Formats: sequence, structure tokens, C-alpha cells
Amino acid sequence: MSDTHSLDYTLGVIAGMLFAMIFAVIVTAVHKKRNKQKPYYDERQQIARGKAYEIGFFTLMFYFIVYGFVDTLGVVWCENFVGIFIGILIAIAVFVVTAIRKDAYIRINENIKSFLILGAVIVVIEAVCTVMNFIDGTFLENGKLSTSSIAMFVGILWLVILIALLVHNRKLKKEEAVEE
Amino acid sequence: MKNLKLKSARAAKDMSQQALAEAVGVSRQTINAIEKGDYNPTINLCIAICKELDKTLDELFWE
Repeated sequence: MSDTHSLDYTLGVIAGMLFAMIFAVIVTAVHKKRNKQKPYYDERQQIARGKAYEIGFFTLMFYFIVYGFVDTLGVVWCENFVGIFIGILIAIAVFVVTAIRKDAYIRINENIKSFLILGAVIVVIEAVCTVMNFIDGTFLENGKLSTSSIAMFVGILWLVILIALLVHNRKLKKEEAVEE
Repeated sequence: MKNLKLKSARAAKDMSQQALAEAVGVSRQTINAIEKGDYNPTINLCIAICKELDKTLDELFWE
């Protein structure tokens, strides 16, 4: 990240954050309206989520140790903020995938379809942003991953979540067919 | 260890895992995990399952 940012850049960041917040509020409101019964996690799911949080936390710690070690060696492959953000995204991915595998991510009474649609929309938006950043040449700055590259990593995170959800859903349907 | 007593009691009531899960307020996978012996339910959930299947705790959860 450059040391000084223009007013346009700052305003752009603020506008982006505001847009994300408004989008989140609208999605939450629609989600609540569709799910008439209040979604919740049962006792097994809560325990499974606790375990998933634990695994995600230790993944984050491990990542920071490796990141710090690589940085100490003088290998600078990304801006500091990007490096930290990637670690957080990896930890989130580990938590979410673990929770999905233990069937503890989607709550009871929650509509998985709206979640999948939301995820797909985010993946497309992030993919478009990534392509634009490549074209603009802002993806890399001085040979390092710049903050613009974060869009690609967020897109990858959501793609991983979507794939994990679809695979798990398929497995559940097979299980249900066997049970019936 | 598999809980076959729960599975047979549920089958005797002609209930699917999903139906029992909805009746006691948990996910179908939780009922499946209990039957497979992968999850030990809390006493509250045990009681809810017993009430739903008209069984006692001893009949379903005591070895």
C-alpha cells in the first residue's frame, strides 16, 4: 500500500465499505423474511462448531508463524496487510469447511439455496474485480501482491465454501436416500 | 457403540430420522449420529427423544 492516498482513493474505500454494509443489511433482511422459523444450531452442531473454531484458530497461529519466519528471511511477497488478510481468510476457510463437514455450518431451518446464490454472486463480483485489477496492472505493486489482490483471495474463499457446501449437500442426499 | 434400541423404537413408531429430528428440534444428522454412536446427546435431548418415542431413558439409553 502506498504511504499516501488521494482523497478519491479514501472516498472510494469508504463508499465500498458502505455499499458492502448496505448489501449485508438487505441480504440479512431478505434471509430473515424467507426463513419464517428462527434458524438455530442444535447441541451437536454447537460442539462441532467449537471444534471447528479451534482448528481455525490454530491454523491462523501456524500461518502467522510461517509468515513471520518467511518475512524474517527477507522474502517479501506481499504487502503486510495482504499477508495478514490471507492468513485470516485461510483460517476462515478451515473453520467453515470443517464446520460444513461436521454438518454444523448451515443452521436448522436455514435455506441453503439463498446462501448458495449469495456465494455465487460474491464469487462472480470478486472474479470481475480480479480481472479488472489484472488489466489495470494494480494486482502487483513492485513485484508484491497489493491490496487489490485481496478480491481474488476473497473470491477463492467463497468458491471453496460453495464447493464444500455442494459436496456435503450431495453426501447428505445420498445418506437420506439410504435411510429412506 | 451403535444405539440400535433408539433405531428400533423409532422404526416401531414409523418415524423417519427427519421426523424425529423435527419433533425434538435437532438436525437429522444429529439423530443419525446418535444412532450410529458417534454423538452422546445431553440429558435434555435424551428426555425429549424418550418423550417423543414413549419410552423411558433406561429403555433407550441404558446398556
